[in-house]
Amino acid sequence: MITRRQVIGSGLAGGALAGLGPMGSAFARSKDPRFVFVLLRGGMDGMAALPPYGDPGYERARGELVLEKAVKLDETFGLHPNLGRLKPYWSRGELAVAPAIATPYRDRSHFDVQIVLETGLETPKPNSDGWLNRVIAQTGHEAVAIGHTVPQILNGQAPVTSWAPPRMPGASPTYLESLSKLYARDQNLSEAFEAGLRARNLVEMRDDAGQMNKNFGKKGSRPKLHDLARAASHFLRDPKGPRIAVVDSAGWDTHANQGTLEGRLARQLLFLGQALDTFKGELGQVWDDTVIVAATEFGRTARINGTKGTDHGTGGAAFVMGGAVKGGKILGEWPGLSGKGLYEGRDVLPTADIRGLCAAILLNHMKLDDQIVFGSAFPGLADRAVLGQFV
Amino acid sequence: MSLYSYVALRRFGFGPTPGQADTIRDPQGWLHNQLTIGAERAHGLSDTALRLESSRERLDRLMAARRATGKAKMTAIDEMKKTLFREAASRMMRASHSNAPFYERLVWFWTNHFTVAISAGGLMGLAGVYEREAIRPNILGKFEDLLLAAVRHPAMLVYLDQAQSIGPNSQAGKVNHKGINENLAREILELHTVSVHGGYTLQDIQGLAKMLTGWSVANDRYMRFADKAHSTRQGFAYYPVNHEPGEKMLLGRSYSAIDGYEEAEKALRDLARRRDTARFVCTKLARHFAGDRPPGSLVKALIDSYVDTGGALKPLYRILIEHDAVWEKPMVKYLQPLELIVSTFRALADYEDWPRGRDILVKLGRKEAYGMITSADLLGQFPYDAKSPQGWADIAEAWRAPEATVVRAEWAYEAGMRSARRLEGNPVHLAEQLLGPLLDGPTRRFMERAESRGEAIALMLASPAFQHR
Repeated sequence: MITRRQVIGSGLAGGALAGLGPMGSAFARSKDPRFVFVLLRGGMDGMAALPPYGDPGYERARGELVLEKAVKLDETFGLHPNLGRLKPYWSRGELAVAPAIATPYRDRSHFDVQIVLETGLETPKPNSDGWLNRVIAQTGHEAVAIGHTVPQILNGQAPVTSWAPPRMPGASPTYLESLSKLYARDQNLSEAFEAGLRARNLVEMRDDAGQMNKNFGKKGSRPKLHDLARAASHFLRDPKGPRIAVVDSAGWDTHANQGTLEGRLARQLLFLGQALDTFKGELGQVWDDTVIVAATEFGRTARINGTKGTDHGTGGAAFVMGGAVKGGKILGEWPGLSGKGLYEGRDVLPTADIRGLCAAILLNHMKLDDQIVFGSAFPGLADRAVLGQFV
Repeated sequence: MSLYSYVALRRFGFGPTPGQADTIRDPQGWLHNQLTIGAERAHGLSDTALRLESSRERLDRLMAARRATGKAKMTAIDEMKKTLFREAASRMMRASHSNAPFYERLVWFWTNHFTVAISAGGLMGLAGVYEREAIRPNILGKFEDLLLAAVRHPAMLVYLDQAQSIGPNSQAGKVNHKGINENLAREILELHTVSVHGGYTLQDIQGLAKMLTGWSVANDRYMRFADKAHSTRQGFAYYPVNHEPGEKMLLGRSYSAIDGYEEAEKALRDLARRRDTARFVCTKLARHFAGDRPPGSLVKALIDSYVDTGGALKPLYRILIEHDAVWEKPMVKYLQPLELIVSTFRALADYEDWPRGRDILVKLGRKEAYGMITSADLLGQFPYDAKSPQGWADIAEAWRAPEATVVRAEWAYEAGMRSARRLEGNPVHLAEQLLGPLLDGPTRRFMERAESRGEAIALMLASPAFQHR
């Protein structure tokens, strides 16, 4: 049976969008693939996370927010110093970055574009299910949402576990047991409660050093992103656990005083770097079978605004990491920061579609059928938009 | 000790205080009496006592905050956060202390229908005042008047980007090269009136958006451009120079005969009277009071009334009070976190110690009022913080995620353990006073066998009977 994958592989001429190409047949053979989606809400400033220091227009665009230091990736791009711990991953080929990627929807409203990012459609349909839920509804994969609520990307018919670090001292086990029995007659409540308890037990048992509970039990301490990464890892490395995790991270909307090497955005990037760096250690052997995507709804304006920040933009940065990644490369072409190269004269022009990035992972890493990817997860996505050669 | 007194208190109100059900001999009469304008103040907590300002005052401070930079801006944002907390805490206090809890519940319902959420930064200062000014006073009249009050409030105009929407062919549009923002028009159609099933197209959204140009927020700098005839105290202003000229169509009707401010007002009133709006609004109401899959007979009765009266709201509430379907089953709705918090507060609060006087929240010593806010955050429903203009979902699935049920159980445990010392007497007796005939055998037995009084109270709070209404 000829699948679309093979057709694409058979000599597509280099099209308008560079950075794509025939899909390599030598992708890493993942035995039991895991997938993590880290959702960065608020519009992460790609040009701060992945400064294009080699672009002649960079300094003029960024004015006083130009980064004096960066960790070099190649002749054009660097990493913000607070993401410096990701450089070894780049060197080892376990990290790839997309500097000008976006959803297919051209708008700058947080909730609309987040909806598009999470539903996999081309326009915002707030009542739609999430693309990842549509996938697992067909594959039967288990998925876990790290956070108090299940984000829209995982909303839908297929049931999903959720877990959040406990912010209260634990309740007595006798009490919880009594409740279990009391809830037995209410099927919906009972199912939910039992699943919640199971998730709690899974995470708590997993922690050998008792580290996690110590941190969370502290009054007033809010869990950091790396704690959530650790929790996700614990779920994923359990052979009986879920294969898919979604981690939610907020606070990326930096309109004012975003800072450079220090400041609000620098802190966010530090947390992101710590979180992404946590996965490898915590996943253990499963790391080789894992792909992690960190993506945001849109990037920000190339030029800074009047309040030392940036406004909502279009093309942004995404990170792809994991033992199963063939990295050390830039995904998608960099359109440049010259006036004409900017989208609507203000934003980084997107040259890659975030759906294309995720589709490549679903097809080549998760080994899913074309029907699931093009028919269900991302209806309307064109074959040629699938990014190649990194997984 | 009729079952119906408990249902009236729990399903229509926010739950009883211990023994309150015994004082209600005529549950339906008790509810009918709450549908009066006076009910708006039946909580005994005036805006002055709570130190809450009006929109205009808030807007002026917001504008100043926008213009500020550096440290002054940080201070301004800090102040807005404090305002938000004060508004949120006041809201919880009012719901907890109202003698007309049915009225309060309806206010929450409509505020949710016309959601203005704080997710967009500047709205921290406006979400609470929006509820107080646009929603509270207008829930007993006609839907179209409530719709207009909500849409014309500065909070809504800012939330859905209407304040910056300018007709490209208007006087201002031709000079500034700014454009129309369709957000408000889209949400009015999709979320406030005819809903996604209303059969509107992109052209309809654009038509309504064009009609709405000029509808904006009062701004001292541009006051001379505003048409004074349409300015409101809350801060609505109509700027004719922003209004897009020309013919506009909406759902098959042309609005070219009128122009200016009246266009959009007429369009909104027309939308309010459409059958699709009746269907949408009445189904939501029925769902809120009779269960996630509301009985068809109730929905039909509500729709018929709406259509007959041109959208009068009070008759709808009277139908809810009188219709059998709303009283048939003892437990139909899983409590949302805010409802649970208020109902827990009412169940456990120390009413002897209720202070009087100015700035009640200060007298309460932050603890109680703000304790409710911390709980709201923990349980995942911070007031005014719905994640989208759709508002909070009114179905059990939205609130019953596995993790969420465990968090509730832990929260109930905390609440139970903390109140055990203060609440004397047998916890089972307390449960009888709060749940009456809704207290089931298993809950009673587990409470009796609990390891401690605190655990017994916790079991009551976490029991299916207490977690549903």
